[in-house]
Amino acid sequence: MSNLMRVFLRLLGLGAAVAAFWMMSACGSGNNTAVTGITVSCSPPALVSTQISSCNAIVTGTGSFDSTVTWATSFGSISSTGLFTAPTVTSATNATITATSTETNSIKGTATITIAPTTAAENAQPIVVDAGPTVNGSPVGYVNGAFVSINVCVPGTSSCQTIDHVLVDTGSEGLILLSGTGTAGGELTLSLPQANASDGNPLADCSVFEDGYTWGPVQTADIAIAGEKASSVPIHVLGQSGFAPAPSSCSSQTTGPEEDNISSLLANGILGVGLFQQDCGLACDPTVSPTPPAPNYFYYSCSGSSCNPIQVPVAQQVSNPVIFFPTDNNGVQIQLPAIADAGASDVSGTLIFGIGTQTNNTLGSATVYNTTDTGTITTTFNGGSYPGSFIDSGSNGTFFLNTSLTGIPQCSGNISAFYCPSSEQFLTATNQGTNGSSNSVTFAINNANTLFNNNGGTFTAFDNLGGPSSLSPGGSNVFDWGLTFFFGKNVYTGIETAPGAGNSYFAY
Amino acid sequence: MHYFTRLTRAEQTVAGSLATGFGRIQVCPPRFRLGRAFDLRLSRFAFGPTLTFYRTTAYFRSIRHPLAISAGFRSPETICPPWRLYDRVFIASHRTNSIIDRQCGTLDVAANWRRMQLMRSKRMRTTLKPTVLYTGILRPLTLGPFLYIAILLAPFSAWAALGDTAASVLTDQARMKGTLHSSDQQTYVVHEIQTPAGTKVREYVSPQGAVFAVAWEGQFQPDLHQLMGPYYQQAKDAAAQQVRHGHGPMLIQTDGLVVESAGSQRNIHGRAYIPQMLPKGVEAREIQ
Repeated sequence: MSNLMRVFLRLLGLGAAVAAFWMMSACGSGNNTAVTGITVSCSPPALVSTQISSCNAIVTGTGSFDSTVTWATSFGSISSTGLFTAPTVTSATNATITATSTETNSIKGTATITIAPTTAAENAQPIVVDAGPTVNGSPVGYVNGAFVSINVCVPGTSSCQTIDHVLVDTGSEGLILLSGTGTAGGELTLSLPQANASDGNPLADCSVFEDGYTWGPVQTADIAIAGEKASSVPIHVLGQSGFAPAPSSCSSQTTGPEEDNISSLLANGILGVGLFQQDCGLACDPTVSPTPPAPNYFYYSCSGSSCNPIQVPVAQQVSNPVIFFPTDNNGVQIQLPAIADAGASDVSGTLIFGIGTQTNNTLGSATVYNTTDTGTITTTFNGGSYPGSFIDSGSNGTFFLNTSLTGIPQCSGNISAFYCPSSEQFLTATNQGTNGSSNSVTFAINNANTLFNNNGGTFTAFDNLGGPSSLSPGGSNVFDWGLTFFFGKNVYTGIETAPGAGNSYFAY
Repeated sequence: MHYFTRLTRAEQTVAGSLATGFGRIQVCPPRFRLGRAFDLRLSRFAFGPTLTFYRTTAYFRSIRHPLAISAGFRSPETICPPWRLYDRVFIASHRTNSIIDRQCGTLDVAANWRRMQLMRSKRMRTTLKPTVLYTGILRPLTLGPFLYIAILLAPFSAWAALGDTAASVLTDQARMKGTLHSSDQQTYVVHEIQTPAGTKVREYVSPQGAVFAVAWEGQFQPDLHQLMGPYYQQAKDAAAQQVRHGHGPMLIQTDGLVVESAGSQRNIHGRAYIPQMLPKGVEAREIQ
């Protein structure tokens, strides 16, 4: 608009000059008029796709000549007033702008505009698989944790903070950050605006995971990761001092602990970039169920230290930040290199946003496995079929079945969560999506006790670490394909296109 | 022919409002052949609008011998008959056809019904007019003061299921506002409660009438404090002791308690059971 105004004023100025010239000449030597030349200039002369350049023609002539011109371009489009709009290009392209005298068609002026391709958003963020954030001078001792750094800001301001060691989790949705105030031991010290429930009271979130729960206020932040920016995203803050404690109707949904400090969360936050748009979704939306579905409570309205369950529209729920990116918002890809059988330290990988939106995130030859509406696929193993299986970068091993079904003994003591075979086991399973795609997966399980002592116990990444998902047949007979599954693969997590759309998928 | 010489009263035990009351009948048959069927007929009391009868269950607990009553429990229905067959109760035991002399047991019902009949039918599917064994009105407590207090407090302090009596299934169902379906697995009875949010909870009841296992699955987990009763804190303490190297399934195995939880955020499976309480011949694999 401002460009348009500028051109208009310039043309007006030019017109006034021409009029003055015409009046002077009219008083002088009669009717011998002619256009003698046109000079074209465009500003800016170089631009990227979809930007606009304003072109100006200076027409010279004698007598009372007609100073109007017609505009043309060799590429893209130009308006009758000389506004050039750059088309989308994939490589640098020149456009020749031509102004032709209306009075004398043979007199033209030209200028060249260079159009560059749009600079794609930087969509790749480094991942490190290390021992996790530091507490009291030493790392928490995480094994198979994929961590990234992110930047969070108070919405619309430059008041920002970078937070390291945020766990990349394809098994959950939404950004969870551990407070740096009080005793929580996290990094978030930025004071973010509190989100309110429909009754005007502060909104809180109770998310239950397989091994515990998270509780705390819902706040709003601008999130920047790589070159991607998500504005005003509802996030979930943990361990904020002074906030209401978790009500028993939240905590009693699990026998696991509240993960409200660095020792239990083992990370400064969790970046939930899973299959869904929100952490709860339609089940918590008042248009689907006007009242919270007792006893399955998720969101709470807190007045002082008293919190009561409440429904929250999906747009205000803690959300997968990826869906807030202007582009590259349909999923993520995790790239981790293959690692040695013995394990590795501080493995570098990449978290790439978008699927098929840029040259670095095309599906290529990856197979797509559509999931059920609860985010599961079916894994078959040794003749058994296990619906309820899933691919989860936030799980730190391949957790499946139990000793009776696998014949692999469980470890004892502090590492009883893992398998301890006498020698490395090489196994094959088959994953199947709801779209029928089905392929075998080979994986290995080695003795966790051996792995944890390799290289003096300094390794932080293992592709052959696993454990049971139940203690005997009949329990959680699932395959939880944790971070072990991601080494040596590009694994894609495709986000549903709308809450409850049912079109989420994994691909690898 | 009356098989019961002494049928005592039915007593409402005040679990919540009248509309969701419990009734308990004590039965003491003199010579009682197992494997026979009885009909439980219920009638709405003569006031109020049509009430939704939304849950029932029946258990027969013998003093000396384990007995089980299984019944084809009905799902919620809205009916307003003068009398209606509600459940056909089948009394069974591991000792089929054995004769038990003068056992006393209790039959618990939970309903918004106010009058009931327990009838003897000759066969499971008889159309013959059954013999009315008992007609009574579910009414406020006339139990002893101690029991009265215990039961009155029950709805408010009823953190009870795992390890508790089968009656706690009803408490759970009421708190979950769920629908109940039950099935007889010969050596135990499974009650499946589905909450409005779709979470499925299964409670496993032994012939002795004790809940020996619970299992759950869904986007949401149930109230485990309620479902696991006194075992909840034991599981929580054990979980807190675990050394963790990252996030994954939670498996707890302590003396007398097994708890498992695994799954992603919208699909969590779990179960808890007391290994010592598993009925003979029942394996943990059946709990799922």
